[in-house]
Amino acid sequence: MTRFVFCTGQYDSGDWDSAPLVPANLIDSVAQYTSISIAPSGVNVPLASDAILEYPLVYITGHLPVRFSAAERGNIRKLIDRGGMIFMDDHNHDVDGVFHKTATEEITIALSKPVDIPNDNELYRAFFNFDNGPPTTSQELNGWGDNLVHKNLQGVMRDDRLALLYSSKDYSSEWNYHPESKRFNAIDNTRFGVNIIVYALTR
Amino acid sequence: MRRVGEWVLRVLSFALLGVLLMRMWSPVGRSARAESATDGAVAGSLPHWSKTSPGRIHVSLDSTLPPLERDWFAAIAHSGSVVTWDAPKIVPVAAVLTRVADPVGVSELDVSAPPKGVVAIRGPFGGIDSVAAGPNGVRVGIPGSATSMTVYVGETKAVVAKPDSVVLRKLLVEGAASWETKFTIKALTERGWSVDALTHVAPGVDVREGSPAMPDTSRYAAVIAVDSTAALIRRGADAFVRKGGGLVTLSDASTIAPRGVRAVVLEKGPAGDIRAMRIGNGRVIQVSYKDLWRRRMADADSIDDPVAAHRELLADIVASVAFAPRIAVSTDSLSDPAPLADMVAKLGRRTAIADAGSPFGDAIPTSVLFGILIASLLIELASRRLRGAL
Repeated sequence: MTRFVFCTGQYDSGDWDSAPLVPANLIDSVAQYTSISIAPSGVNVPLASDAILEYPLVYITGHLPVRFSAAERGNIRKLIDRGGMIFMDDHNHDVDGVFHKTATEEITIALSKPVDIPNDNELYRAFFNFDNGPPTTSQELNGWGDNLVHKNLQGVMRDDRLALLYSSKDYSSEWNYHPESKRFNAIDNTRFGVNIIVYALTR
Repeated sequence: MRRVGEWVLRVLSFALLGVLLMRMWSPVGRSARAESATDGAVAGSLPHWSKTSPGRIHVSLDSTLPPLERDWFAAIAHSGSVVTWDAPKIVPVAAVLTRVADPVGVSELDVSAPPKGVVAIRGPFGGIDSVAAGPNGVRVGIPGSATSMTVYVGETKAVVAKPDSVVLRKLLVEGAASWETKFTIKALTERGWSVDALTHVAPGVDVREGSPAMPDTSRYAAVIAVDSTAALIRRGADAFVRKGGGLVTLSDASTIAPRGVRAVVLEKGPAGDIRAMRIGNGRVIQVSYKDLWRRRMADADSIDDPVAAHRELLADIVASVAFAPRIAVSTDSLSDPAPLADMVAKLGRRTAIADAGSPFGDAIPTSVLFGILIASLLIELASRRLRGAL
């Protein structure tokens, strides 16, 4: 059985590598809580490269404006149409911020306009149960960014499957720490990341 | 010397008497009239032959007789006429149309024909394809819900009726949470199969689709073990396959297949192979290629639609093992799947007209034989009387 490899998507515009510790942290959580065979380190793959299609779950984040090239848009469409999933997180936690505006525009151009995901979606029960929908982040609770606690995540559906998950909650900041520091948390805040990976692998 | 001559005449008389008696008992003996016809005249002649019962009928054909005329001709043969036929242009052709265990309703048309013979296939609405037969004949996939098909090889025409329906039960897919498990389920679901799926995520934590249960032929057509973690399939695989179920093992799940049976290699490549086994009433396919899902995701210049190609690959593998009970549809009266074989079965082997005589010979007319018999008896009697014997 080939191991699951966590993939971060590189795009030409913006800062795709703004949360370098997220992959290691999520890999650690998946290895800790599940029996999923997972590679110990992730990979960074250009969205414009055909190699991105080898990774059916792609994590995209950043602070800066996002403008996808035609090749990047084409590969995003192919990845989604063939059954893959993209998780895109706004590292700014700011609905008026440049990342949010440009990223949602790009999603609309490449796929369709993202819509609110109901908080009873399977995503919230894929492994751990999140009865109230997406877990809040410390950025939201501290009033940083847009000073909002976002009730819903957004996404693009394909049939009954969540093909692109878009978050304004800034999980990239929330999970961007060394895995060994997890022991200081009363509740592991990366558990929702496990749900995203399990969802992508099973739906 | 004279007595020897008398003995010779006596033996000749008995032999002639025997031949005449056999001719009398044989159909030709009752009515020595012979008739013949060619293709176009057979249908018109059959009523006449039924009324007159000619002693011998020979037909020369350029194409196969339609089934109705063939049966009528066979009935005449059974009523006493010696029936022979000759058809140098008719070649042995047999065709069969089988419904494949696939939800999209594909049928397969297998045609047995002489190698290099051009096989023309026609459906109800016109020509479908024309291909040269290989050493093993021709196999053509007929998409959609196939009705009767007509196959031409030269002058020979075979007609196959609508295939039997098949009962397609569910599939069970089991494996660890991985891209291979996910895309195997996805491809088969997209193909139209109803899939029960069991994906193992963590000890005691499984993702279930449908209601996965122990493999049983009353529930599943085939079970697909994606990897060696497929514990449910492992427990029930042996009994399931022996009862007729189909088992597909991918990658390292090959250890799940019942052991002790030699597998036949169907395909071998640098990255793996596909092997088949028959166990009891069921079939097993072992696919050792790893990561079939990459065929769906990755771009290959040679494939227009990798998603469809991946779907078709898995559907073909499953169809080759799936347990699919058949429901016979009413036989089409126009069905004629093996015309030459049917003619031989009903009318006997092909016979050239020169060989079509009675087994008792008819080169010399019966009246001449009778004359020779009387003459030999009279000469023998006269010889005995003239030498004073009784």
